[in-house]
Amino acid sequence: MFNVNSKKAIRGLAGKSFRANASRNIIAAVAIALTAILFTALFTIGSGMIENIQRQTMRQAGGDGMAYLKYITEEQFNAVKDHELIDRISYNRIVCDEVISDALLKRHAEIYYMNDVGMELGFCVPTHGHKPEKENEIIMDTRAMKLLGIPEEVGAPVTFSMRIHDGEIVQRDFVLSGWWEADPTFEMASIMVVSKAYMDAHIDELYNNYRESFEVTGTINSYVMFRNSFGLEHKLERIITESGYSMDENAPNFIASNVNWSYLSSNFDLDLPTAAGALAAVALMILTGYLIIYNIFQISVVKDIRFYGLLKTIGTTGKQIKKMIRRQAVLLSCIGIPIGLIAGYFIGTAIVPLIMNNSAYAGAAFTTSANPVIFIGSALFAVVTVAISTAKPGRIAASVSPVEAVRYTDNTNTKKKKRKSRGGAKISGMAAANLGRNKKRTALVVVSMALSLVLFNTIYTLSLGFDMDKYLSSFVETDYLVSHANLVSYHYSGDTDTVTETLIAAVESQSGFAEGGRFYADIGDAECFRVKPSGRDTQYLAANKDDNGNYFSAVYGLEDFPLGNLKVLEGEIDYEKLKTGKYILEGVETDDNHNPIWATSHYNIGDTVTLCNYKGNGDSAGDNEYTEYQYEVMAKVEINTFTNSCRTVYNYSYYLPAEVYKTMVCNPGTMMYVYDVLDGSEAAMDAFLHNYTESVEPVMAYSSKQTKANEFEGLRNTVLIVGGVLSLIIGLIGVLNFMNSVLTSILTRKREFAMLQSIGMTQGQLRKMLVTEGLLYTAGAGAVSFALSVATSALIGGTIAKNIWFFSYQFTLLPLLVIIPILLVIGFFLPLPVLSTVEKQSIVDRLRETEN
Amino acid sequence: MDILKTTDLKKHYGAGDTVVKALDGVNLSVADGEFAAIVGTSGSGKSTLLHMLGGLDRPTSGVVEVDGKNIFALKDEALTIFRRRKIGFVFQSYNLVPVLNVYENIVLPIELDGNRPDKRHIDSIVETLGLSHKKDRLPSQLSGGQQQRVAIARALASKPAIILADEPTGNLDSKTSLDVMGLLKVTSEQFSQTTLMITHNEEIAQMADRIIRIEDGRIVGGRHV
Repeated sequence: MFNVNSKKAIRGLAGKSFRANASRNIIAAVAIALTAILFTALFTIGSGMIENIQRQTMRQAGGDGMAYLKYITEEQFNAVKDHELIDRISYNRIVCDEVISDALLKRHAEIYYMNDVGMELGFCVPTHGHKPEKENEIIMDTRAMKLLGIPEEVGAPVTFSMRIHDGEIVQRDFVLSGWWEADPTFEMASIMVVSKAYMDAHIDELYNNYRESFEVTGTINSYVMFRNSFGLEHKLERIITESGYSMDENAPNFIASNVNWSYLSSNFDLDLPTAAGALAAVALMILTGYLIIYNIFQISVVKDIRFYGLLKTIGTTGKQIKKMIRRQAVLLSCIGIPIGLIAGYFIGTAIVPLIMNNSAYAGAAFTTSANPVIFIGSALFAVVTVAISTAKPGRIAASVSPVEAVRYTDNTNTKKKKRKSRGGAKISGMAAANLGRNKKRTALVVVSMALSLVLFNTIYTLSLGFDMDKYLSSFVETDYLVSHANLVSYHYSGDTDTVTETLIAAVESQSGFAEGGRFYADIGDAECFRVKPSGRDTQYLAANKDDNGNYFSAVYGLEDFPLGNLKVLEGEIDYEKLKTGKYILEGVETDDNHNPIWATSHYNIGDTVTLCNYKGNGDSAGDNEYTEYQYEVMAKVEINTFTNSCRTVYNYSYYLPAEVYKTMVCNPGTMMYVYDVLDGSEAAMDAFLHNYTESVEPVMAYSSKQTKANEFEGLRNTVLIVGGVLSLIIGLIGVLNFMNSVLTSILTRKREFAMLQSIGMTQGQLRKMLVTEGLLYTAGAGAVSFALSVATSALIGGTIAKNIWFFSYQFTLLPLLVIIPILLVIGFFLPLPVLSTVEKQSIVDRLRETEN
Repeated sequence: MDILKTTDLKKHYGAGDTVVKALDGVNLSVADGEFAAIVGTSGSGKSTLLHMLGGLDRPTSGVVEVDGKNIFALKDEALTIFRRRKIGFVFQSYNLVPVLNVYENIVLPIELDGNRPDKRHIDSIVETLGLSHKKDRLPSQLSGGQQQRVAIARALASKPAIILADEPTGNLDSKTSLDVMGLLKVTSEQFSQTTLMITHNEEIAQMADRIIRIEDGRIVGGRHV
């Protein structure tokens, strides 16, 4: 065997054949670029969104950490901290249960000592000044400083009253040593950090008795970072159990913990489904790219088949021909992929803030890092797509027999020998038959176009299915809800933090006011309620018991309007009977889909409930008179955390009419006031409430259906934008594929058209035939996408609806009905300019041209 | 009566020194029902002449009258329509539409004209050309001779004023060539069809009623066989 160095010759041939195919090259390079755009944009959007959402949710949650260990002791911290799975662990020790300050009513404050990891993961690194070092130094965010009236200068004095163990209040003087900008998404609380010197100096008051008293002072919360975010739950379990502790709530060595839901990979508890979803998206893109790149190369190889046959005749091996084609693919990739990477990255970075601003995370600053992995990954996938797509055309060219090549026509896979006449040679019939010449190619083009249609329809179905009512029903039942700010920050007790009558009066006097009612509850005050054990007691924490063994419970008194809004889960409410004072409604918890969790129900209908409290005007229970009440359970109703509860979980919740409730307490606390407004007056009411809660009674708070609805719209838009852009790119590829097919099919049939014209087909008839072909392509894409959309739509109905609780499936093909006509128009007009170029050549020239 | 007549027909390509006179003043007339052969060497201008006669290309100057009508007075679209009504083409490379079956190929010009094919006429053509059992076949399933027979049938189907055949046997072996020629002749007689055929094969040309010789774009002689 001779070892022939033929590289140079092959390279030269490949280059020449490359230059001879200018129009194919343009289309192929664009197709490769689009494919690369798809990958890059998706990866950029994906990583950008994960990055930003993680950061934002971490901020909302108070810190970055793949898992949290909660309320642990120094000893537990030391036992866990060196576990091999842990990359970094923070030490955040809470120094008081509560910061007592009127200025911080709407913004709950927590004071910690944190190690450096804690400040970093908790986004508490001061951007001005320095970390606290001396015993009296403290740092906080600008929002808290503004509320407290602290100037932005190092050394500014701060004094706090802090509640530590056993309700003891201590007053401490600090000086500000640094601060950082408050994050708008971190609405609920301000974190403040003191020094290690402070912790050491007050170590005596920082003991941990959380298990006995639920006091958080002295407890340590730890954010744990693992090396990666796969299998978080399993890792968390390992570090706890292997350090000698338990995840069992009832075990004496229990450590409370949870994984961070902002780490998406374990967020949906679906390492597998997420991976499968991502894989499906990547597969879809490879398929999209394949459909067009394969098609382009296949067409070009068939067109040049005689050239390859000739090469074979003169002794070029199949391997060398393959090499030539591969070389052309490499050249095209070198042009297309870099363009795609850059364009894709810009599209991606442009979309991320758009998405984020349309989401609940609006207002924060967003970054999208140019992670090299995005580019390497996208380039790799694009290369793989090109390689897969050009392999087969390469094989076709390589395997052509030199003799056959001359007779090779694009008709090879027609197995049909006969064709039934359907009443002669209609132009439409000819057009249909033309598409049938290369069924595989036609199918590729049709599927390529249909893909984006199906994708878009799916996206639309998805966004349509986002059920605003279902979403809102978990947060608002009425147009408005006003309360004391403490209810919003989960601190409602009763007497001292009620809705003021002045606010209620002001609301009721607004012109748009329709109907409303008060919602009474005394949760933590002197007259709060307990219930005698029912015998069907639960697996829940047994700690909510008083000294007599009665369970603390939430009892609500509702005026008619909120009473009418209760959702009955079992039994029936007879309002007349209910108001006689002999009956009660039991509250039962529900899941996200509003299905009752029956384990939280303690009675059968007709059972007797015995409630008790210390009724009277005294400041504490001891000053009041012990009173018992007996009721018969009439029905069970849904507890909806945000609309009809004190927002703290009680194992026993009861609902009574306000009239009955008022007989049980001397000082009923108005927990909230809920009301509807007349249509069209929402804006005015929003403005009124906004102003009122800012300047008239700042401790009052409100939530409106409109604000929640806006949040929801944002979510829906996010899905539409991401999906829309992806569909658009895939659609572009589909149209490009279609264009390429039409273009080449016209160019390769130049002579056939001349022949048809020579036997009397007029220009008009030729156009009609080509337009029919174009329309058939698009109609085919339409039909395929209809069928596939019906199927995927059903699939969505089944699976997504189960995973997204506010999703209610609605069947729709509306996007198809909108887009298909557009495609038909493209199909109609696309062939015409190509044909006019062809017709510039005379019939005779065309007849001659390919004859030799 | 002359069904076809040309007057001083010229076709020049290029200009100045490089001008190529493909046709240089051709005067020719063909009588109704005549079966004529145009012979000449490669490059003599015989194909150009045929293209002019069929209205596929426009001359530099001169007139072509088919059935008494100056065809180049027609606009392109009208010329195409005239062509499918009055002229039937038979090409060397058959030029059948690959996606249509035999029958559909045959009736295509009629249908393009928006007419219903005359079924008895078509059947008799198909019968004569021996294609009765192959009506549903696609062209790719036929031999060269069979394909050319379909092309002849297609040319005959619309009862044109004249059939123009450009080297109809050029791609066929000699036995098949004689077969096809025979059929062309038979149908020409049977359907009283004026036929003008180009060939460079003297033997084939001998089968025509009349032979017209062309050289360097001029008619140099001819005789009735």
